[in-house]
Amino acid sequence: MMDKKCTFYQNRLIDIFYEEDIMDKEIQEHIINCHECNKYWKELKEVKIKVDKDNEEIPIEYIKISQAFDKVEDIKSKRLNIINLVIFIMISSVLLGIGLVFAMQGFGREIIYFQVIVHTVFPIFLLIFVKIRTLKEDYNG
Amino acid sequence: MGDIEKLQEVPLIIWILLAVVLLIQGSWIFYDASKRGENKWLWGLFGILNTPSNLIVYLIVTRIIFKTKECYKCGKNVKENALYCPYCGNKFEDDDRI
Repeated sequence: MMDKKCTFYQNRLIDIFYEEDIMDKEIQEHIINCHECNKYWKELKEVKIKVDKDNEEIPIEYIKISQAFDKVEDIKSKRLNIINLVIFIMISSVLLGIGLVFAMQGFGREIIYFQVIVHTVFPIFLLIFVKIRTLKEDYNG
Repeated sequence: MGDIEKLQEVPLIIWILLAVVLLIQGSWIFYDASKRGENKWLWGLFGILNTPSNLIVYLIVTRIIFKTKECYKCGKNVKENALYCPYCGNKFEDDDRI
């Protein structure tokens, strides 16, 4: 049966376990003579061995973590691309529908003029665009 | 009857087919531009303006003028003369560059 002294020594054993106290002769003698405190100290040491073993460094494979994040980003961007494509198809359908209505209503002349402007003016814009981008990105550098 | 007035004589089915072709062309250009990191909205809208000249222009710009290559590590499209992949940091060997 545990007495008050044992409670005192067992509390000290916990401090010793956490390295907040040192094992002196007094407590060593008590452990030798007291069966319960001896058992208590052995159990503490077993716990320490188990905890130390569980705390061994587990190698972290950073490459795999990085690859997993990259995969997540890929999936997210693919989903976003699909949504953007659907939105684009809807917008284009509306625009082409409007063009179709114009054509059927007899605005063919205006459509032709528009196409002439696109074919005439756009190449100039394209040259400027390519030049600016080449300079900006130093593409041939 | 002038040529332009004759446009009204064109059957509706021809207009619809033309619209479908433009839609497919524009959608493909949009999708391809998004894969290459180009401005997909601009190119996509450009792709629905007419066919096939706009498609030819797009292909010339992206396949010849602003040619890209695939990073063998992450598979993303990068500039032809890139030293490093901007996505995964992979260093390209001299043989991989122009």
